[in-house]
Amino acid sequence: MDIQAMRRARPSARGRVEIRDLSVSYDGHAALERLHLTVEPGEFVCLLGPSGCGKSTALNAVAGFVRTPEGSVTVDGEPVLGPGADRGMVFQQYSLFPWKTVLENVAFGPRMKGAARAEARRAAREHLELVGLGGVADKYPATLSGGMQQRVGIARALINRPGVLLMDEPFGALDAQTRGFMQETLLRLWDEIGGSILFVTHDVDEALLLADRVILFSAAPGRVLLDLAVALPRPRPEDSFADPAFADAKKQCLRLIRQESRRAFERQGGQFA
Amino acid sequence: MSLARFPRLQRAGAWAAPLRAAAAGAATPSLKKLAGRWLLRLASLLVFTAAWQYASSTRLHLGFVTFANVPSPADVFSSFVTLAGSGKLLPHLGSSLARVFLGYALAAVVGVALGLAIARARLAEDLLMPPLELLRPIPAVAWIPLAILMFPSAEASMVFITFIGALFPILLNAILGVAGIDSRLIASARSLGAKDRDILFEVVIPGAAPSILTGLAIGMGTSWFCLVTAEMISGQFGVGYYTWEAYTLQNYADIVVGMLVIGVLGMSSSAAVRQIGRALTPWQAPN
Ligand SMILES: Nc1ncnc2c1ncn2[C@@H]1O[C@H](COP(=O)(O)OP(=O)(O)O)[C@@H](O)[C@H]1O
Ligand SMILES: [Mg+2]
Repeated sequence: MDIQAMRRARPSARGRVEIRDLSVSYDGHAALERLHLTVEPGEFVCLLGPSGCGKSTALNAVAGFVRTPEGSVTVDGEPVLGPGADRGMVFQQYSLFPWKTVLENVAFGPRMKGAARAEARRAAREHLELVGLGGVADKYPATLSGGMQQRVGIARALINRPGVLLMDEPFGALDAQTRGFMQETLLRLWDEIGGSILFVTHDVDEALLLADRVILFSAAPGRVLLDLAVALPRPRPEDSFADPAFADAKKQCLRLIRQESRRAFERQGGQFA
Repeated sequence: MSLARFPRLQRAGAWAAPLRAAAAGAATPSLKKLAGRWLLRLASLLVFTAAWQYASSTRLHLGFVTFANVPSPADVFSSFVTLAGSGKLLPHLGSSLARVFLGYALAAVVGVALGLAIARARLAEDLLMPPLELLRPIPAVAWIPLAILMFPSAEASMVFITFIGALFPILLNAILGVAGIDSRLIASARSLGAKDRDILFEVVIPGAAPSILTGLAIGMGTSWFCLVTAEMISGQFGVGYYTWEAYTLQNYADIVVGMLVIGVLGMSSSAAVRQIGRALTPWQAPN
């Protein structure tokens, strides 16, 4: 039995996301059309696709930030009616509260749940240790590097033990070295804490390095174009890139993305020479 | 949430930086430089006073402006000593301060509360914004005649003028402050389990705080401005009234005493507001 099967077999496994027949449009302009997508409990799923194809919209629908009158979104069987602490969110722009210290940012979730101040702070300290930031607990976010801020953001989301962690290009603003380190950190936390992750990226390497499944969206309005199980064993070290299976999957993804980007471009009236 | 959005606060911060560093007892090589800068500032004041003394004592006449009737610094100083000794200074100061702080405190409460409501609730915006937009361009000073008719006492009308003067900068900056909050912060808070009440106290108010404090600092300035004008017209005590009375009684040195007292009061209240603001927003500390 591989690690994934074991993870799914956990009796307490949470984080099943089911998107059925979801259409979302903004001012009559369709962003998603009849999207079907399922994330199994404990699964790491990456969404790939050309920019503007509706990846963020799909994520925001699961988070409860966009109304979904057409179609249904459920998390662990519960229909999504609005944002809630059972679904954690991490944005590319870190989005920490600038007026709270790092510790207070992480303690926010437990405090909203009604935890006593001391208890919330203790849990927050523990989670800061988990992301290697025990030493900056009393600093304000603005004094931290981007990578550190994003680790705080992840700790702040995970402290609530959400069934599913939603991440919208979380490492997109970081430099390559920091990104590699953040990917490792995320995989370690996922392994320790469990739950499923729905992760948007436009970086094919990142998707293949992280995901159990890569889902490729078509150009807008977004539909699922390819649902690819990533068969590479974990952990996936740097030299996974040399694995023929990795190379094949990457080629397939890149070809489809290029094709979709071209279609999106042409639909907008652009022409290739 | 960068300081660049609040050039006033930023500049104030830069100006006070040497003070803070000195207060912290920073025994650094820059201490000498700091002392040098303060000496320079002192010298600037002395030169200014000396030029004034020269112009007034020689009754300098520059064609279109004349110093013939301008009292000298020495006259002003002795008038101030007389006023301070007469026991009349405190009642004047007291009435002005009481009016400003009453009007200003009302404006702060009403302005911030309305601003938060208007920025957060569409209903409040639709109900309140049209009349406020209409009243906003009217300078507070233009309210004086109507205020005298509306209120039973001159006292109440002056407090009202002070209130109107401070209200709009505070209100508008509160609205701008809320509008400027990154919507992702509110989204994040909701995803972490925050309810409407938590959003207001944990996100909206602290998020708008820097802008609200800018409004409060501007409002302090405008409320002094409006008060002094109102006192000149309808007061019986207060530094504005004192200044105008000095003119009508041709006590020219007292005019300048009144002006300087107004200047010092306005400056210290604004500094106090900024200082409180800085203490309330420690995350904006320039470190
Ligand atoms: N709040 C919004 N208002 C109007 N249009 C939006 C909004 N959010 C997204 N869109 C539009 O919906 C489409 C999908 O956007 P998005 O989900 O952000 O794509 P992606 O994340 O894949 O780049 C785009 O055409 C975008 O312009
Ligand atoms: Mg996006």
